[in-house]
Amino acid sequence: MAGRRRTVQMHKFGELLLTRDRARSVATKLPAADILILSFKGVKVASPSFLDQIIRSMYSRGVTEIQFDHFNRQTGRNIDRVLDAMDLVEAKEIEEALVG
Amino acid sequence: MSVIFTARGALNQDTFEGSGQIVNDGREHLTIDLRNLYFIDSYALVTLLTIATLFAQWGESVLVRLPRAQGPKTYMARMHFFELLPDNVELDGERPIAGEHARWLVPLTRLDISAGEFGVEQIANFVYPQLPRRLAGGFTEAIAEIGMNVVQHSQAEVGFVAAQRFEKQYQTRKPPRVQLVMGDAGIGIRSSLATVHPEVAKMTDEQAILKALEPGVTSKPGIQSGVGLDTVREYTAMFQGVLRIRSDRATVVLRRGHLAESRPVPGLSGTIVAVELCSGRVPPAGAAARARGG
Repeated sequence: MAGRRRTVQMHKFGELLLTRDRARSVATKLPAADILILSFKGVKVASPSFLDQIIRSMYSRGVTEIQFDHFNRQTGRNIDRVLDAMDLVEAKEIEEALVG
Repeated sequence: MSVIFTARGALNQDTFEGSGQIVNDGREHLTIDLRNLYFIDSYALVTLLTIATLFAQWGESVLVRLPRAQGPKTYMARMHFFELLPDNVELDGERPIAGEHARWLVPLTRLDISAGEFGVEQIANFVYPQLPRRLAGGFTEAIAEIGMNVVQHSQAEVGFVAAQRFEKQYQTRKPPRVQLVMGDAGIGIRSSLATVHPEVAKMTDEQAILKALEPGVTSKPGIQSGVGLDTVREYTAMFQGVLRIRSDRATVVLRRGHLAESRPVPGLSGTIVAVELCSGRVPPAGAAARARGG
């Protein structure tokens, strides 16, 4: 059975989505869903820190999948590269925690 | 022990280190002597303002000798340098008043560290509309990443940011170019990283800066801070720009993402990060002739 899908227009929260504090604030306004589609149409900048925090916040609220729509075209960045950068930070943190 | 900064002509990120000296005169005093100044850039302005604010906060006396030339005096006023100097800083003349706002300048702005990351967003929202469209996204992200670093890692109470758009070519850098400088009087990169990477405590400041530029390095593991200076380095490489980081006793410069310079400098509390992005590069003069074998 397909999960609940919801699409959110991110431009409602501003054209520049930059900080973790902003992401935490936005996350409280996003709907509950199994699959969340974030549309970045109309967003000029969405930083890696913002995206990472949105992902963390929404997964902790039970979202099982997040899709990014219109991201590359709107922001000029490749979403896969952005998420890779964030994964690297997390991987280093885990590695340091294990070593430490 | 007094500190004296003396401008001899141009005071910019290349000449700044040579302008300061420490004098053992039994006094605690800061003098910024700009009488012979004819050019000053955002890097020097942010650094001087941070130092003057710090000295004034410590209750030390601070004297600023104004430039004799009208050009730099007007520019400094437009950048709000005199406006932001603490009240107990003495000037040797009338405080110059800012003229009309120029749309290619983002005047010196105090980073509201108590406002946390929302203070960084305020600056980003202010800067974005003033930038050329092609550079605006990357530049704004760089502001956010550096700003979040300052807010979360520097433990600073004093921080300033300034930016400028240039419409002229400089060396091989094609216009439009944008330069951002963000400075804080915090604990510096080495002390910040050493809180979670004990080996960094034994490093020099140069080594600590280079460590901070490695992908994935953070001084706040577990609370997911910014992606940090590596992302800023990536942007400067993408836009063929220059990244300069001065922290405590070292300066590191990267051009187009590659290490170009790394050297010890006189100690100064905190960190200054300067980023310049440009629209591309032109071949250096003579390169074409060399390519032809001329």
